[in-house]
Amino acid sequence: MGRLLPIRLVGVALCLALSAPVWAAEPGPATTRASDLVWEPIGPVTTSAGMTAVATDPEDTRVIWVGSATSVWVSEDGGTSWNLVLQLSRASGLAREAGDGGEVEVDPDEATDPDAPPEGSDIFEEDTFVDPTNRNSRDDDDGDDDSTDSNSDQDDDGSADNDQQQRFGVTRFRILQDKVWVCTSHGLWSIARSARRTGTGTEVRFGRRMAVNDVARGPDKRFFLATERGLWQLGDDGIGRQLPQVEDEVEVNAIQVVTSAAVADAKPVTRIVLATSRGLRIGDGDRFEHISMGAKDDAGLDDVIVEPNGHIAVAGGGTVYRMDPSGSVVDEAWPVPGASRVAVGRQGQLWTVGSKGAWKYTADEGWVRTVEGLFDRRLVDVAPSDAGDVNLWVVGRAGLWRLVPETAKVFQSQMAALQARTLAGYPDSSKTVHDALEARGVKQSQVDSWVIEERLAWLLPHVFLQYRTNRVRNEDYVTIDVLDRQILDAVEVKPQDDEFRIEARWDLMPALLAAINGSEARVASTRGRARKQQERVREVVLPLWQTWAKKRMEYETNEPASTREALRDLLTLAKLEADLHVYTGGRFPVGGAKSKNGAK
Amino acid sequence: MIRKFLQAASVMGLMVVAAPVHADDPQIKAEAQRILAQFDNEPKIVQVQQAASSYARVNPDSYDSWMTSARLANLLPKRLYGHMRNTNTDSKDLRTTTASSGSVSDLTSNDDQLQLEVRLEWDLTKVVFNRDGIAAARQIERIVNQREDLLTTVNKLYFARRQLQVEIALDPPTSVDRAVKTQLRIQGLTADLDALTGGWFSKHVPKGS
Repeated sequence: MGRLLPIRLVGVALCLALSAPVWAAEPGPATTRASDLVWEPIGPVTTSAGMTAVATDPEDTRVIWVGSATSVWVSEDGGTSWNLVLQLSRASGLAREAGDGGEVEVDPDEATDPDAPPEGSDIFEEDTFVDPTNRNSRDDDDGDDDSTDSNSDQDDDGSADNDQQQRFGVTRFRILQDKVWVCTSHGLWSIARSARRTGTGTEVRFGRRMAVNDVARGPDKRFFLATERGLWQLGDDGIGRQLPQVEDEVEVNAIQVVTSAAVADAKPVTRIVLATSRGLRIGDGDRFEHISMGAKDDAGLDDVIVEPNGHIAVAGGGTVYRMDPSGSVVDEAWPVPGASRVAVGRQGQLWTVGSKGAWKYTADEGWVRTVEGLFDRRLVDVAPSDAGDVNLWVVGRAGLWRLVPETAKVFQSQMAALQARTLAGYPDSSKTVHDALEARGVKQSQVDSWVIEERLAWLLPHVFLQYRTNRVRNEDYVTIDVLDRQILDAVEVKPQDDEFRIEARWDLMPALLAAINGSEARVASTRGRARKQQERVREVVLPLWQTWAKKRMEYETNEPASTREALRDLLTLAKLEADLHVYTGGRFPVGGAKSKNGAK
Repeated sequence: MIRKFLQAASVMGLMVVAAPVHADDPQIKAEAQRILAQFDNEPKIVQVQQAASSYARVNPDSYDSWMTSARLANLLPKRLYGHMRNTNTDSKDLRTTTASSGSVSDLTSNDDQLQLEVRLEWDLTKVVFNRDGIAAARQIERIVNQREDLLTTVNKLYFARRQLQVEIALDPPTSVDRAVKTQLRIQGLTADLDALTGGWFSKHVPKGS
C-alpha cells in the first residue's frame, strides 16, 4: 500500500501539472463540463502512453483490462494497482509469455533481431520508452506546399495517427463467460477472466497474421470472429471457417448479438449485427442483410452496442447512428467529429470517443464534448464503469483516463507539495512546451505578426534619394591678330542645375490585394505549417514531459525493488531528459547539468 | 578471437559488477548510481548530441541569426546607382569687338560639361515585412526537424549501448556465445554513433570500454 499511494498521488499530481494553461481551449463545437466531471490520467506505471483498448468487467467494473501495442494489464481495484497479464511481441505478433503457463511461442526471428533486448534482460521493457520520435513522417525538404505535403502525419480528423496506433497490438477486449478475449492486429488471444498475473494467456490457433477485431458468441453457442477478412466462425476444433454469406474481404470491425424482446406468443429473436467497413449488416449468423444507413450507405463503421432501451448504437466515420431495436431503421444520425467507439455511461447516457475526444449525448443539449483535463484528445476506446467515483474509462495515445468528479481535486495541495519537491529546479510543462516552441523555426505568434506587418507594410514608401551635380567649364580666349595666336584669358568652372531629390512612392496594390484576398498565400501556408508545428510540439513534447515527470516522481517517492529496477528507472529518466533536451533546443537540463538557459 | 571477447567481457564484468544487492537494501539507488558512475569517463549524451549536430551542420547557432539578418538586410539600400558623364560640346562663340585702337577678336569656348549623379533606393515596406523572413523560417524549420531526427536517433543508440553496458555490469556473461554477442552489439552501436558524429565518439571513448 505504501508503494501504491505515491502512484496514486503521482496520477493526481500529473492531473494538476497538466491543468496548467499550456494550451488554450481550441475553438469548435460546444466543449463543456459534464456535471463537474473531469478526466484523470492513470494507468499501469510502466507505460504511460499508447494505450489501444480498454474494457471493464460487466459484473464488477472495478476490474479493468487495458491493452497497449505489446501488453495487457488488469486492475482489480479501480485502477490503483496494475498487473501485467500478457506480453505480445510487436514484431511478430507472437507472444512471449513471462509466466509459466499457457503456450510459449518462440519467434525464430527474434534471436537475430539486433534491436531485441539482451538475453535475460528486463531492464528495458519495450513500453518503457515512449518514443514520440517514431513518427510516421517528417516534413520533407522539397519545399512543397502543405496542401500537397504527403508527409503530413495527421489529416483533418486525426485518423492517420489513430490508424497508426491501431495497427499494432490489442484492438479490443471481449469478456465472455470465463474468458477475456484479446483481439489484436495479429490474431486472437484469450486470458482467464480471473487472471491477475502472466501465465494464463493462450493464443487461439487462428489467423495468426490476421487482424481480429471482435468476437461474439451467437445463437446456438456459435463463436463468431470479426476480422479484416470478413466474418469467420470458430469451430470447436479450433479451426476458423469464413462465412461465405458475408461479402468477401469486407472488414468486420464489431459484432453485437441482439435479442429482441418477446412479443405475445412470439419467441424472442436473436440477430447478429455487424459493423463493417462498408456499412451495417444484420443477420441470423448464416445470412446477412445490408442495412441502409441513408446517405452514407457504405460508411465505414467501427463499433456497435446495444443500449439499455434496446436501441442499437453504431459509430464510425464521424457519425453516430441510433437504430430501432430491430436494427432495420435508422432513428437518428448525428455527425460527431471523430466518433469511432460508443459506450453507455453510468446514467444510461450514450458516449462516443474518437480522434476528437469524448462526447456525451443528452436529449437537452445533444452531443457535448467532455475534455476537461484531457490533454490529448485522440482516443481509441471507451468502457463504462459504475465503480466508485469512476464514470467512464477511455484510452488513447496519451494513455488511460478515467472520468471522475472534480472533488478529486481535494488532493491538490498535497499533490502540489509533492510535485514541487520532486520536480524542483526543472522546467514545468508550460515552460518546456514554450521552450520547444521557441526552438522551432516558426511560431504562430510570428506568423500573426507577419500578417499584421504585411497589412501595414504598404504605409511605408519606396524611397529614392538622388543627388545630381553639373559642372560647366568655360574658357575664354583672346585672339591677338598680330601674333596670330589665341591666349587663354580666363577659366570659369561653375555649377549648373545641382539637384538633391528625395522621392517617396507608395504602392497601394498590396493593400488592395490584402483587402481582397486576405493574407498572402505564402503567409497563409506558413500559418498552416506553424499550426502543425505547434500541434506537433503538443503531441510530442507534452506527453514526453508528462512521462518524464511521472517517472521522476515515481523514482523519488518509491524505493526500487532491485538494483536492476533502479538502473532501468535511471536510464529511462536519462533518455527522456535527453529527448526533452533535443526538443527544447538545449534548454531542458540533462542529468542535473545546467541547461542553456541556466535551469537546474 | 572469441577467447579475447570473453576475456574482455569478463574483465569488464569483474571491474564493474558489485556484490548482489538485496531487494530490501535501502542503498539500492546509491548502488545503481555507483554502477552508472563506472561510465563517467565516457562522453556525456549532451556532448555526443553536440558532436552529432556539429558534424551534420544542424547546430542551432548556425541558424539562430537568420531571421534577424533577413530583417536588418533591408536597412541597406535596395539599389545604389552612380553616374558620371563628361560631355565635350565644343560649342564656340566667336565675338568680335571693335575699338578705336583697332579691332580685337575674342573667341569664347564653352567646353567640358561634367555631370555626376548618385541615386539610392530603399524599399521601406521590407523593413516592416520581409518575405525573406518566411523563406528563412521554412529553412530553419527543416533544419530543426532534421536536427531532432538526428539527435533522437543518437539518444536511442547511446542509451541502447549504455543499457548493454549496464547489463554486463549487472550480469557478466557466463558463456562465450553471449559475451561475443554482447560485445558485437556494443561495437555495432559504437560504430553507429561514430557514423553520426564523424568518428568523434570512438575517439572519446576510453580504450577497453
